[in-house]
Amino acid sequence: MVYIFCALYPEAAPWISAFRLKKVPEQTKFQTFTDGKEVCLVITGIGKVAAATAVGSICTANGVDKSDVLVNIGICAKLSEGTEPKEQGKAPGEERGSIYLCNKLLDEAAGKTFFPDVLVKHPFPEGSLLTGDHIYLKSDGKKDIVAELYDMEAAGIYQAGAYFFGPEQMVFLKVVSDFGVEAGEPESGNSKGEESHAKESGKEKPQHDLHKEKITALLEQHKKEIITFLKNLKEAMEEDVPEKKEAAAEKEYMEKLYIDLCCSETMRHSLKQLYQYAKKAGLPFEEKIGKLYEQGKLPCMVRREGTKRIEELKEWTLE
Amino acid sequence: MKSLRNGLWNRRFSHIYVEEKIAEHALVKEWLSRLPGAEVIKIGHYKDVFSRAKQSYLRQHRSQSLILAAKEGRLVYDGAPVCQDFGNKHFYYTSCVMNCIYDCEYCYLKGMYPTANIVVFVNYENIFSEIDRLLEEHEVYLCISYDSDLLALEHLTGLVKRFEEFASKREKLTIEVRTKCASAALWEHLEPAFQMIYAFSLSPEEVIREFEHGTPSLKERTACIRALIDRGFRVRLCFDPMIYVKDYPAVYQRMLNTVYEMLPLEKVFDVSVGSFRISKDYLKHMRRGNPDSAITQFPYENENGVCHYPKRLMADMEQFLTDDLQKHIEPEKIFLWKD
Repeated sequence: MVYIFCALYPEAAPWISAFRLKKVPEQTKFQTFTDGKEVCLVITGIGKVAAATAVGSICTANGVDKSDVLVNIGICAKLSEGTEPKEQGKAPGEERGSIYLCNKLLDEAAGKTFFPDVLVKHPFPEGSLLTGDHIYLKSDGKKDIVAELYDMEAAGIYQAGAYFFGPEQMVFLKVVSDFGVEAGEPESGNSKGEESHAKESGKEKPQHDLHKEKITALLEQHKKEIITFLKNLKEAMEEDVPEKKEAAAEKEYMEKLYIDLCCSETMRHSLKQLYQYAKKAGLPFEEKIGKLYEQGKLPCMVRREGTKRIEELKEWTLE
Repeated sequence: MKSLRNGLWNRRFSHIYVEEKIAEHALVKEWLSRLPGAEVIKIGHYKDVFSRAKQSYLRQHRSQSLILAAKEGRLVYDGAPVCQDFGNKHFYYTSCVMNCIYDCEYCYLKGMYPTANIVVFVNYENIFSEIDRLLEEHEVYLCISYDSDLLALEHLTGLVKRFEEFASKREKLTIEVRTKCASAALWEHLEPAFQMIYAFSLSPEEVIREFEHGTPSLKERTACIRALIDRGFRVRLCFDPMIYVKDYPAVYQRMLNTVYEMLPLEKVFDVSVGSFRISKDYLKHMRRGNPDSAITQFPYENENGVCHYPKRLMADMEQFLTDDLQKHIEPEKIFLWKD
């Protein structure tokens, strides 16, 4: 499953349409959309705490395995408007709409830094991102010393996600929407600021439809490359992970064997290990077990008999 | 299982993490210049990246990152009890590099470290000072390539050359460099020095193909060893760890035949033999990290925290190899690992 977390609906809209996601009506705390098999998108609301809560809640409910990925997509502010732009061919200040893959996340309040692994190829410039607890004001100053980008969720999403995902399973994609706002002028360009203010002021829906569209448009322009990247990322994470059907059949086979050998927890562990060894060493484990059934040595009546069979199997692996 | 598509993964060292305090270090700049196009990410301390929770060794090994750092605390350690000391009384080891570009399924590094990323420490000169301090007290036998294959990274770091230059001026120092590296070009810039022993790990071709991913073949290794012996390098052959495979006598005999055919054994410094053994704690991590491996899942015996093959098998394997080696090399040159 690809879990996509966006703070706002306008950030989520391109993915809801691209992956043809349907709303999950049972999810009442966080708006959730899914195609029922490969993608699950959650709108977290603004801020680190809301975002972390959404990640914890959805991942606990759905479960996460090694082939799953967590993706945080959204808009951000660029902290260093006057500095050398990361994306080639763009003048300083012209980076509105530029996309970044974040390789370093800083939690401003906690003073902690996190590093998602960047193992899979991607077409995006990379950058560092500072997650703060309020809208970035230009007058805050000097934040560009520690990072290039600023948002209000990513570090929270990483910290909550780390309970479920490895660092190579988490990806943070941010599109520059503004360069911070002037103090006292929250509407002067920080798109998320306006959305944030709309939310914070208790209004359920953002007031400026035009700005909603702008946010969606900023992300929409990167839709094709993001979708291709997510497909590659998912494919990479599925390498070496047994297919679910294969794993389920194997589990069922072993569960029967555990019962038929009257296994304790330690015996289960030994038997599973023997099975995995035999499989990898090219030994016909299932054929051997079949013979034991034919010979009446399986199923065992008591645990002592099961222990003896496991010892016999160990000897067999070295024959 | 899905088939592997290597094209999905970033190339090795596409990402380099550099501790801020050494960002201006000349060696860091030199190494970064050898890796153009890499994404350089500043970090506070190498453990911020190295020691993260839930890292995947298998996935990271497909796209290893490089971490450049300064080593702190103790720099030279006493030799570990599971390591062969070759009769040296003052046996030490040091780690300028943590982790390896080779991917050997049996390697204890997979059980020891939480990551496949490679750390290179820039302050080798502090290690040299520590060695000089020890040399004031007694002779020193120092292994510098336990926690990595230093030679496999020599094109980037040049650290073996630095150790060679350091050691060649110190009579009481002997340095062992363990390796599987067989790059002829790389060896060109090294000179034979009496103080340096290059210890080559040798395995049967079947074991190399199955378990020593990304390493040179047996033929490449023996050809390289032959060239080094001809140039006057001191070479040690390590048949350690011996890995159990079905029909191991035939498999190991083929390897020995290649060795006898390719190498003038009378010119080999010495030979070590030992079957695979590993701390139970490392094995536990390796089983978790790579459950789909015949090495990690073998039903080993646990004896005082060290897992090894069943005693009879272990003795048979080692006996087989030493018996045959003794036909070609003096017994006093053969070191068998004993607990």
